Amino acid sequence: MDKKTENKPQGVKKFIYLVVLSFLAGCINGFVGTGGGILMVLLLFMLDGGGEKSTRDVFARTLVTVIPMTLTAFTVYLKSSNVDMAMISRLFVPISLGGALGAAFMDRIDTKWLNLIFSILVIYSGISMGVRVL
Amino acid sequence: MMDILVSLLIALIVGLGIGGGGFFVIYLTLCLNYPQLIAQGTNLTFFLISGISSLFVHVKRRRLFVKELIPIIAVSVPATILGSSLANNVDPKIPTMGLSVFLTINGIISLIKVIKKFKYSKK
Repeated sequence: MDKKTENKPQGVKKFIYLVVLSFLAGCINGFVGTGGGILMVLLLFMLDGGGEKSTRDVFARTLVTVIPMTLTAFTVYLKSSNVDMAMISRLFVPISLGGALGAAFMDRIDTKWLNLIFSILVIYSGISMGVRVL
Repeated sequence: MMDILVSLLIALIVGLGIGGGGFFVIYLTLCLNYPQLIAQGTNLTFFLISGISSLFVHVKRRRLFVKELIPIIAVSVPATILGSSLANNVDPKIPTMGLSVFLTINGIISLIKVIKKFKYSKK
């Protein structure tokens, strides 16, 4: 058995990882309207066992799993009239353009600094949001 | 104009794989004072559009091994129905608090990871 195969969870272990993390990702994505992707990245890295797929491949595969989840959650929120479709239709072009450009430049940009700025922003926003509720 | 710039920037970040559409919820709630559930629903729509347009680019460049992902989708989609139905039927403060905790933890984990990256690149 080579090292790559050794690191991959197999059998029952793989099944448990898959079911638990996929279930949690779905629940979180539906409940807070975001966040499923983070658990999916974790799951896909685990299943790959640090093997042949690059980080960028894992991010792309994450999208394949998150889009059906998001579509499902979107349907539920739309039924409850909790989507501002006017805002979305106004911003459709920049959103789709931004998504495509980001994917196109993924291989060329070192995202360290962006990651740093956005991590700090996310912590600040998380705390601000909590303070507003309390 | 501000909305256009912000949405372009956040979609770019989604495409780069730095983070999900969580940033758009933040913008809608903290800057535009949207009610929490409408912000979450609008954010899901935002992610759907930016994610699909990114995926179009990835499909041409990468092998996605979609068949391997089917069991994951089969578990996560019903769980999403559960999560989103729950969010739409409880006091909106609960998902807001959930998101606040989630963002803070996620931000701290990302920050630790990025600090490690900086350390590695210095060596």
